[in-house]
Amino acid sequence: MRGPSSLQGRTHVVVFENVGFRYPGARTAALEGVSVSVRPAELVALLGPNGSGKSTLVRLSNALLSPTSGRVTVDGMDTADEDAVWDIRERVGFIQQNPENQIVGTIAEEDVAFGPENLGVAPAEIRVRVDEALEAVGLAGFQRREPHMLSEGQKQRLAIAGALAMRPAYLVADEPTAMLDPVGRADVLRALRGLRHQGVGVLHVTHHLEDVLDADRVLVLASGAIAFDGTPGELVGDPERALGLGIELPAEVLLADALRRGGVRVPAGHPSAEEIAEALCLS
Amino acid sequence: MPLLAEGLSYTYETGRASGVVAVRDVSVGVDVGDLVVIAGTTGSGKSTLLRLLAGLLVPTAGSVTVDGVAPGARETRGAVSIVFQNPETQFFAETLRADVAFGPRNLGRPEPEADADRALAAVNLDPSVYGPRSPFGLSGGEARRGAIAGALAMGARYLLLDEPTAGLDADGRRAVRAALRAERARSGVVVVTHDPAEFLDGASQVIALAEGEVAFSGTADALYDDPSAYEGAGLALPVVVRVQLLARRRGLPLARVTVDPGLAARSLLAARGESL
Repeated sequence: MRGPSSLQGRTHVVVFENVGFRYPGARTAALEGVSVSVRPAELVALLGPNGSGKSTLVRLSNALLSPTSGRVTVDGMDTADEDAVWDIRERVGFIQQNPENQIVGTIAEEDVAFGPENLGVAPAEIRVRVDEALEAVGLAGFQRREPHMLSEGQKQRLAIAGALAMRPAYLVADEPTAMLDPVGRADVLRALRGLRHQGVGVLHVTHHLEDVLDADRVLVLASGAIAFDGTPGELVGDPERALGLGIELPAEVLLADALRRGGVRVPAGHPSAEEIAEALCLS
Repeated sequence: MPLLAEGLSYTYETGRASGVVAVRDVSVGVDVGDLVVIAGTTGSGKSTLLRLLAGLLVPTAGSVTVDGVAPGARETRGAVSIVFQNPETQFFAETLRADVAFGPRNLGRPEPEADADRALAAVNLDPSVYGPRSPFGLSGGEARRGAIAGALAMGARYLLLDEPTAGLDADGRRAVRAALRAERARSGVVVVTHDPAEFLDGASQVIALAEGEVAFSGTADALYDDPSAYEGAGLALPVVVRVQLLARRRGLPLARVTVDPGLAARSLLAARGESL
């Protein structure tokens, strides 16, 4: 196995350096001058309106696309280097929006084992990885379940387990909660947050700022360029700026902001319904 | 006479002795001007119910009538239109006008292009601008509205939509909501969603499904008076609404409850001023 040994001495980080990308035949560039990085154990959120270039950035991060200008490197390996593509894809796991499109096994453990089997991992090691990956996403005990008997949220967590079993350094999740109900969404968000503790760097693409309020960093794309690179708190604390970036703040953040401007002492940040009501009736 | 469903049940055959009951004893009535919101978690039976209302599935028990006639009868052709999830993946024509005109043309309407242009205008896509454009080059919100226009062009009196705003950004969602609001002047609109917050203001009826059965049915105000059955179905009231309900319980005189944070702030501040 070409494992971590081949990576010794390399910097561990995904780096976009002044990256541009233009689809063949397109009049305008999908991305231009994008410089960002994702480190292990870091949760980076990527927001932006439809058509802002989010999916293009995702495809550049795991060598599904190569930049037309600039450079993308994963732990020092250039995604434009065809010899490095397979190593890069081992390092960068990928989860899509629709859980239905990414499950191949007839039972959960087979599905999770598919990746490491294809990497030529020894059977005993696969067993360990499958159990660990299912546990990491809260599906311990689901080994023998048939995927079609799982809820959508469980299926999405199964897909995450499948990526984890390949022991990636990074996981790119492209709107992983878009098709889930509130319960499934909360479970998937919990699973993604947990990856930080396992040292996995996560790039979470979403339309919903409330999904990523605890991210280490938030990037906002607008018309193919990075329009914001900061913390979620900076966006929540500045509704006007968020609005200008096309980011919809959670309705309760807007309510809290409007009440504050009306003289109510609502706690800063992202207060609960109880905290807002409390402030209304006290001050 | 409305789109009426009485005592609907539907069982999916699984090849085993007993099938999976997806919908059990559900009754719904939709009139022109209504906005009926059907909420429920994944697997609660809401998409099955929508297909039953559209006449795409034949109920195992109960009945559906469209203005007094069985769905699929000649006189109701085109009267009920369903818009599936991510409908923009079904575009096929070279121009948006041709794509939207496909339905009315198949129904044998004399002027399918004119029907298409009226439908595009109804979803706030200027036909002279968007008609000649490729449906594949539209933004998310434009594409979704274009797909909804495809349903409207057939002259639907009842428009059924499955998760019409899922996957859209804020602007796209706002545009779709505005189009549906305008459409209520001509049609009865039924929206199925697991995230009903954005449709609660203005809904004429909210139905919460849990395991195929109606857990709650009533107006949004009735829902706010007693959300226990709704919450029991695995659904949560928006935080903005909960703030207003908590404030009301603590004695703030709020006339009406809204999901709009700006309107809510205004009425909360006014009520607070009154009570001080």
